[in-house]
Amino acid sequence: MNRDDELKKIFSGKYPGPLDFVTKKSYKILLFRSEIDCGTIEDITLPEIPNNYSVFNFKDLPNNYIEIEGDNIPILSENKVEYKGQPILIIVGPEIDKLQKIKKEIKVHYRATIPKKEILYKKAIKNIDPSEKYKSLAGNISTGDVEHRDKFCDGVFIKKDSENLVIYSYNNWDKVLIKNIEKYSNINRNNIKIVTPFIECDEFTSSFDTLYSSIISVVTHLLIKKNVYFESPINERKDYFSKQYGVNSNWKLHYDRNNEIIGCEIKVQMDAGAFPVLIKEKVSRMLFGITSYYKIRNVNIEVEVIKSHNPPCGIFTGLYLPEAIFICETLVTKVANLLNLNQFQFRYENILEKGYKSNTNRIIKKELSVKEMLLECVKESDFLRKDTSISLIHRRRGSVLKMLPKKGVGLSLGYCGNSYISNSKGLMQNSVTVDLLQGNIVDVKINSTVNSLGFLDLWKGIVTEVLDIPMENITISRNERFTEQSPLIENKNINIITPLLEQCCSDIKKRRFKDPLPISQTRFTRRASVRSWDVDKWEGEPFKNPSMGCIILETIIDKRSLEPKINEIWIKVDVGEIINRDILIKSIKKDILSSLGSLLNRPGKISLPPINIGFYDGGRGKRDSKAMGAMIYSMLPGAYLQSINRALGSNFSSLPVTREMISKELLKVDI
Amino acid sequence: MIFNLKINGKESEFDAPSNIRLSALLKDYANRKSVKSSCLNGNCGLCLVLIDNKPVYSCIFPGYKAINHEITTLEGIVQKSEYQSIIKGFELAGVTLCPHCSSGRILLTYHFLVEKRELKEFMIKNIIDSVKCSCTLDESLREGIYLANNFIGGKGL
Repeated sequence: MNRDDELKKIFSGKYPGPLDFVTKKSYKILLFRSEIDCGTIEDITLPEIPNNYSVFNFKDLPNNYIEIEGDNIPILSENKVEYKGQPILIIVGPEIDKLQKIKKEIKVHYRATIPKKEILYKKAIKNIDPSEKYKSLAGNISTGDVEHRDKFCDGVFIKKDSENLVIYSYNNWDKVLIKNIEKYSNINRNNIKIVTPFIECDEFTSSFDTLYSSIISVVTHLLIKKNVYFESPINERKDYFSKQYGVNSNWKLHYDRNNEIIGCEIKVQMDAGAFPVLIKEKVSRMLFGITSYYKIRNVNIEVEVIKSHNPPCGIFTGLYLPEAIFICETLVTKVANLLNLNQFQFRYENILEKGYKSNTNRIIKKELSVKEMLLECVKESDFLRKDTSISLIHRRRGSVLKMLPKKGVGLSLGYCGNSYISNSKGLMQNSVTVDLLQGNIVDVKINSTVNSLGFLDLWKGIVTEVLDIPMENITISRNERFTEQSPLIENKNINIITPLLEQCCSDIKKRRFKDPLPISQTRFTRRASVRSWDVDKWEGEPFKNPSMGCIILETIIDKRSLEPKINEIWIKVDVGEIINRDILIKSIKKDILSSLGSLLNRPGKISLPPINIGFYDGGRGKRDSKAMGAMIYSMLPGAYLQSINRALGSNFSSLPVTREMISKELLKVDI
Repeated sequence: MIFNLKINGKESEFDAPSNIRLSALLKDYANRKSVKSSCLNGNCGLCLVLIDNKPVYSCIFPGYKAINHEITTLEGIVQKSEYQSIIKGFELAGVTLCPHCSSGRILLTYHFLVEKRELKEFMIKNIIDSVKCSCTLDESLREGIYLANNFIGGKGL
């Protein structure tokens, strides 16, 4: 892989996607999906199927389940239909028009049942005894749905190349895919080759849907022994693809007889859709994310997951951690307002300090950088003066208020860790191999998908720095046989691949003038012998190297378009040693753009406001780099809602904030 | 239905359904791999092509309407010197487009810089807004367009 060559291919339109490998002889797949929400299948009437065409139901498949880290999801519906759009039959054949004709003629008789919601999983942390309470104040905080927008990332093409099964797809969870293929057939994992093009796009790439498409294609290929390709029709992608459903939380603040807050209860409800995907992980992330880095002595939290008749909730950026931090920040804002304290002051005093216990019963050994960052960010943005002046404006009454622009400032903290699933299950085996060949040539093989061309330059730079080898002599390639890659590629590339590469280069440097050429060095992450995070005991360290941040947002409400406009953003992040400043700044800006797009419900285009980015310099070692991950997605919504509430003097506690909501608030004050 | 199309200066004939979209005709029948399609309702702009040197979203353009018109896809401008200037400008500004949006963005830049010969603010805005993809930042794309205009020798701004 060479950055210039890849760019040349992209700029000339020759960079191949999975469907560019499809030939005219390839067989196409169409899915017949359920037309009702829930019920049982009584009878299926098939039309006459022409030669070369086939229709498969669940009985024809070697195994009807996809296993994702302990959860089993049916590939095709058996006798029960759980959601509208659930695949029932696979129709396969050489011509798409004929497939559509067959699909139209298929008649399925259902017996509809009444949709029911049931609790799938429940977990709670209790720190207070609510019997002491004298009176309570209750409220609700909710978030909106998240849909993935890179809808072109669905196509899959499968072909048999001599003994190898080659899978061209956008699936970025190779480990699960290979594990499932081994379950359906006798194909050795060394004979499976997965080709994934790099995607430098939105983070909201749904891992679940790409995985599902790949498995449908593989299963069909195994049945008909032909090259097959599958791409969901556009309307199906919109309606039946996985979503991350909004979270609804009910909170209660308990007061004692002296009217002082003694504790808080939070009950969170999450919708898992029809089939649970990584439910325990989602719940535990919500449980410890909801207290963020605040002192948590007096909080009871209960999270329950509900099974509904919606498409399954897939795997999305942050895996519910951004939602948890949003609830936390909104609640902290409310409590600060009730106590008549300044937002900054309340946060600053309640951030975890050295010696305190975290939500996961871990004692904090050193001071958190987030406290210092908060102070710096507040100073830079002049938050205190702005916030005080807004408070004064709201206390004034009369006609002055109508003429003043509706400005508000919001403040939020956030964090993002990675390797959560690996830490809880003792997984992960990423590897890097560096070969120093004769003629000062270095060959690097990485066991990861490259999600940005910037990484190629970054890794070449590391080899050049350590081994003093010119950039043009370095080749980087991906080990296409088998990558133990989990969904968050960027995090892995920063936190795992980059340090491994550095270690390999340092090892080669030591051996360089002792051993004969070629010198080969491989480094890999070992499977943990002990789980570093135990969900059941609620002990340990859930994240590896969490990155932290603080954001301040200044918003003005446009009275004509009834839309909030972001004036300026101040952001401070602690990502350890910065590997490449340009990539980091670009990634922060992209995340802000994407996050604002979903908050303003305009995923297409919005122009970026001025952004002041600062980095926390902790003076730590080079191997202490952390990825941004979903940090922006966790920080921005809280600050955004707070700034709107400050601007309007409102008390919104749910996202998205619509024009109708703003209009109602403006009518109260201005007219 | 028989479609007689002139794609990138070459005339070719295809037998396709009469109600086919131009994007499908170019992608599946004419094998123009640079033409991508995603939303199929003219929203994302990934399928942008030039018809008689005017930009068109090919996913909402009926195939039969393109008969007797000249269609230009990215493959048709790759050999031209102006294309090289655009790429030079983009590379210098650090624009790394993704495989999906590159075709639309480059074709639109080519259309404004080469056909109009005078770069104006609304043109830059048009290039940025017409193709919706989050792979590159607006500011670097703006810089790239400005540099490309300089390399081509166009006027304006």
